[in-house]
Amino acid sequence: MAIRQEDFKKLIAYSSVANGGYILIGLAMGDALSVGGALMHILAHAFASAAAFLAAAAVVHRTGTTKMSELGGLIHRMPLTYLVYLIAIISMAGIPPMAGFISKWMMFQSMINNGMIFTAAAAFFGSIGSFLYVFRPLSAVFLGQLSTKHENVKEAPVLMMIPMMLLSLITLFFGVVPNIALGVINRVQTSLGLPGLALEGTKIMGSNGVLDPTLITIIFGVGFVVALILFILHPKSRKVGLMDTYTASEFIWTPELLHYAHDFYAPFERLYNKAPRTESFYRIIERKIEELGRLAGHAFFSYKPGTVVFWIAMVTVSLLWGGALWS
Amino acid sequence: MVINQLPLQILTGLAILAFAFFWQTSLSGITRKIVARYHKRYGPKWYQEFRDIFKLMSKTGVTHGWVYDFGVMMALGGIMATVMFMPLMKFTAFPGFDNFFIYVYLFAVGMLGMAMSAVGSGNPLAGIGVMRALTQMVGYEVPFMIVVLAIINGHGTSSLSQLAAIQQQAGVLSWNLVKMPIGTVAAFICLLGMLGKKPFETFIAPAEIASGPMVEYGGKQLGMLMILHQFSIFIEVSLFMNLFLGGAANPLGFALKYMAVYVLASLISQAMGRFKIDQVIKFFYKIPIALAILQAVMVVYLGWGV
Repeated sequence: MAIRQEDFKKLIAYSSVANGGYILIGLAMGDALSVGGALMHILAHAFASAAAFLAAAAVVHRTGTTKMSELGGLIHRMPLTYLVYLIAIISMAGIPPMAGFISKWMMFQSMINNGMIFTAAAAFFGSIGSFLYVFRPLSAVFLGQLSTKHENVKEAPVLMMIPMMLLSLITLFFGVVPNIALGVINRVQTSLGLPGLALEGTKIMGSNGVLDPTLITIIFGVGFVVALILFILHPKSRKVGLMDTYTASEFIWTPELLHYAHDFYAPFERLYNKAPRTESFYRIIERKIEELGRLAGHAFFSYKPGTVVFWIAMVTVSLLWGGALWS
Repeated sequence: MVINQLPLQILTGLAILAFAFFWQTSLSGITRKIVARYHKRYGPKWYQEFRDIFKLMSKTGVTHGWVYDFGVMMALGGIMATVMFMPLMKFTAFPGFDNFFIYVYLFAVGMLGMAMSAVGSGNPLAGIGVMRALTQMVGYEVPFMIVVLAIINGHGTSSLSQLAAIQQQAGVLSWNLVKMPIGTVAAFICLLGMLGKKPFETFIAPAEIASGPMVEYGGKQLGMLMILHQFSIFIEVSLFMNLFLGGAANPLGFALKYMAVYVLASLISQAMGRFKIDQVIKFFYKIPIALAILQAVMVVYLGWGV
């Protein structure tokens, strides 16, 4: 569902549904590692998803739309918001060195040890699928071509930036030294009567392997520094505009036409287009409930003071003596 | 992790990195030669890939903004970190931490960096290429992970060097290739998908979407992406070798096994056409996934092949 959303905020909302499923799997398996993983995942996802929503809100605040196909190229106008969103999605997709990786690793450990093939297959699919859907706003909103109507968009205001930055730093912090959070989770587990997690320094002992997030971060840093040195040592590149790209010798001057955002995963969606949908059923129910609400509104809400006073009086009377009338 | 050991371990990791680069880049050149002979061409020199990389690194290219450069660095950094964790024959830079999941997810950092940088170039063809690459990733990762689940569940460890050591106990007969043949076939098909060999090179598709993600690159950025490509081949082939062919105890075994896997994959690639992206996904969710689940059921529920 999240993969096919056109709306930035709805997509993040659906991703929370998917991650709720992970937490449920973790809790349902019920051993120390999986419950610890599920609790950690609640924490990690809370921070990541809050940061992603705030980044989305900043984009809406500056551009006034949540439709991904209308946005694009905002990285050149809002680089900090982009960084916040990047850190959030790295955590949501469960990639080191962010907090989401730790919790997913713990849950996969116990899934494999319990030999739950079909649950694990679904979880793997969800894990890689999450990479797909979180990448879509990144590419459609922040990367690609900058639309001409967003030429003058500014970076989000400072007051919006502060909470976003804080949430990102927390996500990064728990990704590098998760044992501080896991220590608290350990106490929760002991009070629930479950065996605690095996922690040692910066290491987490799994059922079939050991994880040291701090070491991973250090090595990633080393790799990045080597790449940076390679980059700096070699000749400097010439800066060109975004429209200066290879188009197979066609001449296109509107940035919107060179922005690939609408129907991003069309080939993937074609796979399940013929599958039965529950969406239309929900939409009918939604419409009926709305009509019912309008009917009630017609009866109760009015601009005539007399009607309003009458209903206020009725409600007060029934609140005070209603119990006496019925009993 | 003892802090005093860390600098030494990082040096070992960098040595593995250097070896991986020279080994895989030479082998790519040799494979180009083999493929050329298969086409009845003469083919380039075996060090052609080195020439290409060094030439590109010394050229002045263009850049499309900071994310275009940052993405390349993040991708190369992530992939290099993955290589440094890889066990090589008897060496492991960080003993005990060569957990299978680290490879999968650290590798994803590289993928994310590359995807970011490519879409950041602002070319729609790059966007389409990245979309196809991610869609294909959903295809091959799931069957591959199911087979690996069976292996880890059967052997009780997810450490790559330990899995290799277990398979070296009784010669060829203890290889997972012999014990889990169905899973090996499924994983090999997934390996073709990972390497981007035909029929699964839809996301590159030179004649169709102008090399997809790579369309805008030139100069040192393209040079760094070529280094990245060599490293990612090294990771993928080494993973397959350690999981199914019993790793490698000595240099000769390493060279033979590695070359066998990579050259076989390249030759299969020459005999195939290219799938459309819809067909790629449909194919992966029919045959490899069925084989993978069959193998996993055999290992987990029936206890065969452990």
